[in-house]
Amino acid sequence: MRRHYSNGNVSRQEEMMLRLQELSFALKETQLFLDGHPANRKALAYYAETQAEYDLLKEEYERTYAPITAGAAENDTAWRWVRTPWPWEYGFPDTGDVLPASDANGGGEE
Amino acid sequence: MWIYEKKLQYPIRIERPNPLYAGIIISQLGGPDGELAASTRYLSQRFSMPYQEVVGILTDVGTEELAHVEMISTILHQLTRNLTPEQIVEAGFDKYFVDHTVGVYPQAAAGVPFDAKYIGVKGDVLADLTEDLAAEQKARVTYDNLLRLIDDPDVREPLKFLRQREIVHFQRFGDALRVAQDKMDSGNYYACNPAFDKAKPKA
Repeated sequence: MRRHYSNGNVSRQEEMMLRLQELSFALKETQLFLDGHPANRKALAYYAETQAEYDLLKEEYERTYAPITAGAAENDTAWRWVRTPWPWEYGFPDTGDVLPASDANGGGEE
Repeated sequence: MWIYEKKLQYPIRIERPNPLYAGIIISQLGGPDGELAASTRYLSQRFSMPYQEVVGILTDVGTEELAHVEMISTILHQLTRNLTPEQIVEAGFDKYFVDHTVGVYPQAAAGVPFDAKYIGVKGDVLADLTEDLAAEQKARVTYDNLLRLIDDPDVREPLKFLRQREIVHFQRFGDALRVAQDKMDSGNYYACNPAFDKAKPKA
């Protein structure tokens, strides 16, 4: 897997996010094509297959790390939507941009 | 309606802040051919568009442009982290800083705030679609120009991705124009505007 930026190791979470980004890119690209070619069977089959792979991985990512859509996965003790980093903060633990792991995992102060 | 996904369309992690780069890349947020203009243009043109496939393309490209607004904003945010007043003055970022600190505000590189004058919604199938084709090419040229001025690979990679999207969107609007022309009067595309006229006007 190609690195898109220059520093450090790729964590398991980043790897999984990168794969989700690849899959949703493939979906987006196919969606735009299908809008103009709505009866293209090859594109329809590719879309369905990619969507299934995306859904599985998204569910695993949200269960393990952080919600991608609000309310996804478990919210028993805290609303995880605001306890996990926003996309523009991704990967800057040295600047305080990213919440500490304990907080990111749910915290319990409220 | 829309549902937000808490992820970027393409990964961005910029190690070295650079306010000079931020000051030029900002044109792709709020400039004449920027991503905000693109999303507003396409999402607004949908309502008078009479063909389902074309409405789909306007909706889905317009939605992707919102993700590009977020990508450009992310680049701007990361390029302006941890700056000292000296770095801000040295890079000529002081004129932006005095009004917006390091908040992300849509304007062109020359400081002109975002303006709806950058977009066209003519309510005419051919006028709107040919505007969209031109808009994608103009945005592509702006990315070409940015890539001529920027060395840092952390910044170039997402800009190269965005440049490629302009080319793909141009192709998809080509599909849209083909679909529209197939459905229009092939002998005279200008005989009527199917976004307004109920039937071809009598000669």
